[in-house]
Amino acid sequence: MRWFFLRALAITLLPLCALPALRAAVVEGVVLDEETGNPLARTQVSLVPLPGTPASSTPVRTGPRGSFVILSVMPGWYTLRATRRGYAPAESGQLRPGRPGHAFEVADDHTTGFLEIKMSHLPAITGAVFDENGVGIAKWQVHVYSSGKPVRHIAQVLTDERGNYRVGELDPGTYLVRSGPGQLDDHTPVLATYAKAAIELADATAVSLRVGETKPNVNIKPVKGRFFTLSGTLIPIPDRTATLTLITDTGRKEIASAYSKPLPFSTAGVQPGPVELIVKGFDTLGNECGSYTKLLVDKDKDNLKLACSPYGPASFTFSGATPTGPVVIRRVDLDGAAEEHALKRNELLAPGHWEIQIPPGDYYISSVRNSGTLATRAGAWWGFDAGTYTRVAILLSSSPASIAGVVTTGGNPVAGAPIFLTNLGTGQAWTGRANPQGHYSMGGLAPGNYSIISGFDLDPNDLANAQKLSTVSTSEGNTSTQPLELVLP
Amino acid sequence: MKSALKCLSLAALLLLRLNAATLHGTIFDEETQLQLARTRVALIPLPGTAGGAVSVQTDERGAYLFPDVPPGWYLIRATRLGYAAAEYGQSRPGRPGTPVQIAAGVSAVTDPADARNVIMRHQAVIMGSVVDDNNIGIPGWPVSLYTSRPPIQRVAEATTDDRGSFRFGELEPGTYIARSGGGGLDDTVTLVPSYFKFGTAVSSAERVRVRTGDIQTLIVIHTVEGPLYELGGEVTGPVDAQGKPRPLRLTLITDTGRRLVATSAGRFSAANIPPGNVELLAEGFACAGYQRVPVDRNIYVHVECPPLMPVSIAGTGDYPLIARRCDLDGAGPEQPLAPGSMLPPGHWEFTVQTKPQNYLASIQNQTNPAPPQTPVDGWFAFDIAGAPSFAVTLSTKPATIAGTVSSPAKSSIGAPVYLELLNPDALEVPIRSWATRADERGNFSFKGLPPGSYRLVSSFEVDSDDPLARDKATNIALHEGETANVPLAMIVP
Repeated sequence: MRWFFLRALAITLLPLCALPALRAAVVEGVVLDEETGNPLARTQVSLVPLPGTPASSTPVRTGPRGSFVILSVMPGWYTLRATRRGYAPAESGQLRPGRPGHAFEVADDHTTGFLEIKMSHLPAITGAVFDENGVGIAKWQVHVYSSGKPVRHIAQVLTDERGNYRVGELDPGTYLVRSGPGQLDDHTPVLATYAKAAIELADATAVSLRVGETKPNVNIKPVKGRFFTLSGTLIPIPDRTATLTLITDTGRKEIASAYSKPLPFSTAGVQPGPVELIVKGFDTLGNECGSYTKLLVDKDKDNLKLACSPYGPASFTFSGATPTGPVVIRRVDLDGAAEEHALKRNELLAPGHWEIQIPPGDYYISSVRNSGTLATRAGAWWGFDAGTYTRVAILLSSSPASIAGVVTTGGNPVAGAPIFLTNLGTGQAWTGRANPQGHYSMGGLAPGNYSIISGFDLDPNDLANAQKLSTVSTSEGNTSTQPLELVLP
Repeated sequence: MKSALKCLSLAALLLLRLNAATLHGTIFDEETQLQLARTRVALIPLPGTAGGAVSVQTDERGAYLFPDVPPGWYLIRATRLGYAAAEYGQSRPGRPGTPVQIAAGVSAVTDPADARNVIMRHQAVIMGSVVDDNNIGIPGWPVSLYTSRPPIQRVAEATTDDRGSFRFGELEPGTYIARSGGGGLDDTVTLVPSYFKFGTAVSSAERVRVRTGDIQTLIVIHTVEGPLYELGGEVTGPVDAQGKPRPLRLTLITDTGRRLVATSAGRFSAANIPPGNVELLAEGFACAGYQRVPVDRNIYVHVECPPLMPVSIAGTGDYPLIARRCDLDGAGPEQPLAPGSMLPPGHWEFTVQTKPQNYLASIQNQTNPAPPQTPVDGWFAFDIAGAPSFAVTLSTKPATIAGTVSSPAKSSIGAPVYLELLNPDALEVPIRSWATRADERGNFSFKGLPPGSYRLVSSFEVDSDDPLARDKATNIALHEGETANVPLAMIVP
């Protein structure tokens, strides 16, 4: 009732507000919770112009009753997007939660119809960790990993006193859930175990999540097993301190700290599988030193010699083209990715695994090599191991390929049709929109094979099974034309 | 002589072993009837049965076994994380169990017919959500749980999940108050701490009662918009030989939590403070400072970190003075306090745990004399500043209540007996409580009691959180040094 009043008030006042920008229009509406229909106050709403609409607008927040008014909107075609913590981003006119919305035209000096955006919660996984009798294990670690390769640790929680857990705010996608390693109250060692009761990744049961979904009963029965011991010597620089950290895919802990002299260390209770050993410290000049060792633990390991070695600034050289913006970098350990940041000039990269992302532009990334070794690729990220000397060479090609065409339905172009493009070789995916005339163009592509599809009711996480998926081959510097028939719901 | 003694003790041991029996059973979850592995099971002798308590852990199948149990009467008590302590033979989870008799020479090893199984029930849970004006859950929001008995004490804290839901588990049976914290929302709206269901005053709070095993859901806290304030100021502390300030920390404490607001001397500022009292605690190198400040607007304070001063204590005899810090966000751990130890300023509570030949009559802080106070559960409260000097008065003439439990309907062996010291100003809220068990002849005693008015009751059917069955309780007035012999009729429903 109240937001109807606000709407009426807004409409009454709008002509006055719009006076300074005579050609500008007004977009108004309300944001609601999909499940309850209740208004969502304080939600950020923004207009996203379609290709060809040379405008930008400042995001606004919904009022106490979920309503919003965007003033001074330049004429053109837009989609309307809402974002809010705990909810999946939503667009006006979307057919289902998680699907792309419909574009609309904003005409000169005009108020659009009252738009409604319904938001759905981000997915969650719930379940329990059970002992051999089916009784919940209290205060036990539960880890969530993305299931796509490389498997990445993305969240960690503890079970409650009844053995239940809940992991929320997950993006739609496919996940693996795993209980952590540890000892039961009678000191029985229990291995990290994937749902439902798997030690090996290949036997894990993946959990697929859609927007708004809470997947219940993802239960885990941890498997009893044997832990191993790592031992060796931590070697600091004389008169300086070094610390040794053990990282596994279920967490990390500092296991030794040595001052000036080599110090024997031994750590028991190590879960079988990959581990990382990180040494950190300083040299006599106060510069950072360190080392990085990755091991596969399948038995007790002894005589490890881990030194704190000085390292210098990393160098990144680009050839072929200049990046259009800052390169983003993040450290990725077995227990997950650290916060990403813009790569600084002469940045010191501590020994370990790092990933960079190069902003898109009128080029494609031909190769990334660290001291001659090809970087690994995970989507838009390129990974390499930093060491004592890190020299990363990035080859950009200024003759990228592109794919363009028109999206139609029944012979008519579809304004703002969503485009889903996937590189079949690397798995990297892009999304785009057609312009008001149904034309689309996806540029900055490497030569290769791509799948492409357009539709308003496509699940971005399940495109491989979509009907009418077109395959396009691209070559260096060329534009491949691919007309697309809109996939109808 | 030595060898004769050794021979005698071996003979005694052999006799004991010959007379000893085996006690076994399985621990089950009441709800699922599943066996509870790795559960601690204690065998507790009743008064009059020789020996101390022993405990074992159940195996993978939830089974336990006590070998070589000497003859006598015992309670079997199981404890496990997330479950209420349970006793063999209890009429209902949360109630006292019945003792078992181990007869001499019985050696049935694991005959299922002799199994003494114990059923355990989960501890209570309170669940709910914190919602905004539109009944939308607020994610990542702090929630606190308080005891409802005044003065309310914060006993647990939680943070709402992505849907604004919260959960407090492992709760003792009792009555609680749930309250959301204060803070700013995504826009300029600020919320003040709000009680379940609605309101900002504790008097408006709706109490939530839970019994063992209860899951109270739908505790929806409707948040209230209101002003939050800013607290700024300066903190000063000691300096080193070069005149540089030594490191210190300044912690801001409210009744919904605490946060670090400064890690060095100098200016500080803390935003989003709800109206009400706040405490500022400065801690540094051999220094500590404390201020309690009412916040009803943006305010500026100066906090000093003066040197810590030693405590002087007199009158405790051989007993240590036990102290616990009580800040606005709850009570800290108990710690024995020796004369000369340093006590940071703030609100503290003190007690002395005496043996039966004494009782704690009073504690006075002679540097800051205050009128005599009524201790709660034996604790005396003081605001400490400077160098406190405690004068403890222990009486050597404690009172005793002894008696025999009787019942025509039920055996009084091991009967639970509850005793409460009444507060003449608030009869429904006792000053202190005790519990014991009758021995195999139904006899019981409470020693080391201060004079006062008492309420006494015996029953197997009283929940541990129930106020004693007042109508049927026996009331006793005790003078210093008096021994009261009380025949006590067991309450049998």
